[in-house]
Amino acid sequence: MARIVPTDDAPGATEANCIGYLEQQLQSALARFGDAYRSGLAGFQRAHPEFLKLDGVAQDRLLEGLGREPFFEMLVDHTMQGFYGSPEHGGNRDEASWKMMGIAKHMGGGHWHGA
Amino acid sequence: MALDPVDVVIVGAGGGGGIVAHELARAGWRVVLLERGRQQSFAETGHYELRSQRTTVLGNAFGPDDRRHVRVRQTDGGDWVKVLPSDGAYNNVAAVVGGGTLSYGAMAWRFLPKDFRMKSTYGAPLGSTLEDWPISYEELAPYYERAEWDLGVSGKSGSNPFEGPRGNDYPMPPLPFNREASLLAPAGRKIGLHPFPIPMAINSKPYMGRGACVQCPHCVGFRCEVDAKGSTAVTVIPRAIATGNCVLKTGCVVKEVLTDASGKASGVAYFDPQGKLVEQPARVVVVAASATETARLLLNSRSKVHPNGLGNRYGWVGRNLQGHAYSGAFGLFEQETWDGIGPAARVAACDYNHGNEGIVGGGMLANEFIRMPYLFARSVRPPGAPRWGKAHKDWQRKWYKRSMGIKGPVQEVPRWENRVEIDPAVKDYWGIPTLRISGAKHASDLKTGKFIAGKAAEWLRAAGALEVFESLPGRGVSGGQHQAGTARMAKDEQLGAVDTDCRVFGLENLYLADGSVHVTNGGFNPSLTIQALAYRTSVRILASGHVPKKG
Repeated sequence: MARIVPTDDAPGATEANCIGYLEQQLQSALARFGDAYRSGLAGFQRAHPEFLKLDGVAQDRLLEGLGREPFFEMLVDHTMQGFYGSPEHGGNRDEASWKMMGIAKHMGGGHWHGA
Repeated sequence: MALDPVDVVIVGAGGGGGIVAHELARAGWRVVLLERGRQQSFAETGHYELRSQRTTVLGNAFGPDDRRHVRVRQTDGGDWVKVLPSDGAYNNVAAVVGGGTLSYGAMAWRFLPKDFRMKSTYGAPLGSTLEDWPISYEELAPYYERAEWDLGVSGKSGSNPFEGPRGNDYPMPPLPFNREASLLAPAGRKIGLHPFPIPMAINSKPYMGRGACVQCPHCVGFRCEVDAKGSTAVTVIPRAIATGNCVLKTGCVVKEVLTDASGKASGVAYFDPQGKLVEQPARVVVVAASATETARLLLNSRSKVHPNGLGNRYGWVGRNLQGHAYSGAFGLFEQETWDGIGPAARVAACDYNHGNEGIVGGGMLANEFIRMPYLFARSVRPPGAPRWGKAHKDWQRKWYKRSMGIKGPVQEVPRWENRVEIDPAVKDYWGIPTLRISGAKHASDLKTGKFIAGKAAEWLRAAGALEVFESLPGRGVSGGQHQAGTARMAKDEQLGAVDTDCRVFGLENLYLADGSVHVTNGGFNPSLTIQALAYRTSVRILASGHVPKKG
């Protein structure tokens, strides 16, 4: 996730708690993806045991090599959901993505906060 | 269990059914309005993108739910696969009081006169069932006006040189232009277009007890926080209930339309919220359940007199499923175009709805509603752009506020092969046979889509876009929230499923009030046309003599 939305001068997936989004939603609305994560993660670790020891650039290169591999596609999508979705769903902590895009004032939670 | 008979039972409390309920209740009829969904408050759904009507990755905000509903869809390869409501292939329409109108963008279009005469204007392309409507724009115009005033439409009369003759003006002036519209309107004029403010069922000032739009950035896909959208859930349905003559029953799933020995409709059978099968006898039955679900109900209502289902003697029910072949373009701009002012879709042009050389029909072009951040991250990218990583993040940061989309609901050429039918095996939670969907767009639609996308791109370039990329329709059958055509209106039983009063052929007291009756679907969002027809059908029902005149 940290490579899908990396941290730079603005928060990335780590700071925005995308993993929290995924954990929360796998218990509820995304429960049907549970098996795909279990087998996908195991398969990935088997195929790329060195991954966590690589630096960011090398990790990106490895992930680019996966192309449209289904497990990675799923992870990209759920990371984007966690990063850009509403904080109420467990990710986008402190409205990190909305602040980055300069729209936090307008988006504000479940209600319209007024311009 | 059979309940006491009523004058009319209406299936579906959406954009069409809500109107019929009010019109008949107002006239003193005893009305039962059945809805499979619930009444939902704003607080239940809020403004959460991931669970809205547009983005359903965490489920459908307005139903139906994935637990109890299923359909079957034919893949490009010819296989039949099960699909759930939160999957786009299901072709969901919201299951909630207000139906699609609760969370729609609320564009309130009248079709153009030529939209009712597609076959005589263009001829029917080979492999299509393109046909004229048996009624004209002029016939429907007074009912469009009725809908505009009863639901509350804001717009500017005379601003669209292509529209058909109007009677009165809109009841409210248009919402003000946002930054996008202010950039696009003069740019459009520069290239010879005739841009004008989009008519919308959104209050630009307080109207009939509801407040004005607060111009929040969340609009399409969400219930309005201040009920400025003229959804039937906040207009005609509460008014119908207030007459004392209409009972709204939610959580009720209709299994079939019942008929008597002579073949007339005698009521409906439905599962109540506890799952008990209940019969509601009625003198008149109105089905307004959406083009897909209405066709399913007609086909599931078989009897000795109606062995192929209702109105289906000549096989028209479920055929000619159509939506819109949405096409358009995105442009990237030097300056910020985003101002956070909703609904954002504010300017349109009808220059390409008709009269395009070598093209059958066309579509209205309008700037887009505000795109939510996740949808933007996943769908608004030039071809070949990075899908993740630092470059994807940078792109989002740089362009979200510096991009505009223009797109249009391209009018489709109907095909006999594009259809819903009853699946031979799969049933829903209640044991009701579900429907399956199959078909593909006519080649003409893909050509029109390419043409319209090119015109959208041209408009964006005229507004100073640095870079433009087009989006084209897929090949698969349309439907979606604009679904229509599955019980087309015709003068003659051999040519359609309902007559010009939207009465089902072969049953003197069964009427339809949704997009299923559309012969063609215009190059526009279809809700106001569904609603104008619902007003007209109500008049016809009242005049039919099924129930003695009241009061």
